[in-house]
Amino acid sequence: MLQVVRAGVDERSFASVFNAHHARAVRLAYLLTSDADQAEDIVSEAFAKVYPRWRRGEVRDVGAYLRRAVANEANSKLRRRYLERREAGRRHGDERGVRLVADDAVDRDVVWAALQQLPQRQRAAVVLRYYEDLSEADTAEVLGVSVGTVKSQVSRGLSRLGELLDDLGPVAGQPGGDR
Amino acid sequence: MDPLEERLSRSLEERAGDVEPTPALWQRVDRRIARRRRAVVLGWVGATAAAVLVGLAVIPPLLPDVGVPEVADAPDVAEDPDTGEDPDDSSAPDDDADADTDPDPDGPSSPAGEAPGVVTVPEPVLTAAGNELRVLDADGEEVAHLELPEEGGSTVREIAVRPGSTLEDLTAAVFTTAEGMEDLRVLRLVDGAASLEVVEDDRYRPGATGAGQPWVSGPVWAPDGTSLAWVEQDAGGSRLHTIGWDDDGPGTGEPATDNATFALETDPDDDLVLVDWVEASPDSYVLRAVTRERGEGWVHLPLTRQADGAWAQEPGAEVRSMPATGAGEGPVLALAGTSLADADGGDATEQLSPAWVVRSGSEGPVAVRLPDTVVPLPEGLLVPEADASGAWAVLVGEELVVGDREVAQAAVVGVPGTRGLLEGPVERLAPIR
Repeated sequence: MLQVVRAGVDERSFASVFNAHHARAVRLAYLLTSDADQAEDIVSEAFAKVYPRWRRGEVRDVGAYLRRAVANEANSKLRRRYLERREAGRRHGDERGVRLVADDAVDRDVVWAALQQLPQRQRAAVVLRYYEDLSEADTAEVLGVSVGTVKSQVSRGLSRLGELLDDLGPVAGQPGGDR
Repeated sequence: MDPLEERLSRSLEERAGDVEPTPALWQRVDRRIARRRRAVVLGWVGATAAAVLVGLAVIPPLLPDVGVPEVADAPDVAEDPDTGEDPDDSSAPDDDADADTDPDPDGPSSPAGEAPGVVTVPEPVLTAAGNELRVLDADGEEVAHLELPEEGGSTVREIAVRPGSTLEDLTAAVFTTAEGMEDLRVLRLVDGAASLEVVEDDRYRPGATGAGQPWVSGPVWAPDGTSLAWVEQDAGGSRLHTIGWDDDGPGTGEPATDNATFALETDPDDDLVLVDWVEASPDSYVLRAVTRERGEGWVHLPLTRQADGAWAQEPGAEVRSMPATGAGEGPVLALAGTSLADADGGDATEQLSPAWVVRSGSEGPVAVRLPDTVVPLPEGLLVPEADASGAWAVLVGEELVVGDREVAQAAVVGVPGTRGLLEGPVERLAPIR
């Protein structure tokens, strides 16, 4: 059913906003969670949250708002996974926790596998910086933390990635794999 | 960029390029928007129908009619070429099992703001709505106002004021979601200076134990304010957590009282909604809960305090049935206050009863002052029974305040009837005393 968008807001339909942003948002959510279905769940929630504000004309930058919403939703999912991993580690006496990806995925992309073992906030900071190409200030805004926190999270994340890349299997000639 | 950064960036780009959204994504968005809209359509449609409950004192509500709020337009999906389904099919099941507790910014504006019948309660209170907390004095004047960061859907879920608090020295435990995560925050208001600090220590925060993201209910304070408790429920079962509390905050540093976890042998399908922690007799206490499915009774979780101050769980949770008062049939949504039967002998916890019960039924929601005084509640105050997971009741002085987190309104209920609305929005309320 076609209905008229309430006066006082942008004339574009929300569907067109959706079409302009959803693919990027899903990819970001996937990079943050490693789960395509969960990524869509996160993105649908993000759009549902942005809709009422958008309709009132309160959202100046839909993309930025969605990024924040996606990052926050993904953090929740990742925390859940972290707790599951920690509990599994306790049960098995393996403090390293369980691996989140199948072996074939590790073989295909050790960087991806390493990324999934980062603490959630480090992972979010790294993805926002190196996939979304956000500045430290913008990353801080998305995550709701200080710029200093972003700096430290990214620094620690990169350092940890280097270590993990060594552990997961060095790739000849690749940085992080030959140290 | 150094080589590692370049490798990371390239890997992320390649991995992201493998992902294509499914055509059904728009439907998921549309359903969520529709669900949020449904939550606020309830509105206030007046309370003109006086319920008649045979054999009981029936007190008509006093609230005036107010308008039905405007319902948000559906998004225009004509431009979405990927879908052929009816976007207005809001009846489709939503596969998201998470409770949607976010206040909808498009919800009905508070009818209490200008409508007649706005009242205050005769005690200082802490209220919560959305990402805001307000401390009000006994005249309803705002003493302090705190906000969580707006972005990230930061929301106050539950509040509990530490017994013994005053407007000059207030401590409250606050469950929040921030950045999508559950947290315990400590609200302190000392001589006008307010703070809201997150509890980071895993020993003292919800959701730190167990597998997965648990359903967390509470918090509630021990009557003397020396312990805080909540219930966590997940696939691994139900657990009651208690943490000691002193003037420095959570934790006492003493092994006996610092923190404890008790496995609860409750039906895993009965998600417990912890209501309060009451004293039945010296060293004999009961944590009371209703169930998220809202059964026709409530649950007692008995605890005793040992000589060293440690809490000990009495065997088993006890399901208490609604007394046969003739006050209609229907699930118990909330309860408040206590009364102790004047009887000799027996276990004091067995004689413990609520002073008020809120229950739903075919005549609509009612508040029952036990044993048999029934006060119909205004229509629209609580969401319909099937979704009534956010109803709450708090005793303030001699009056009952009833509200629903999803509706964000609260009514002051007494005898002989509903006295009026609190100025809203109010999702949660806790007296300061």
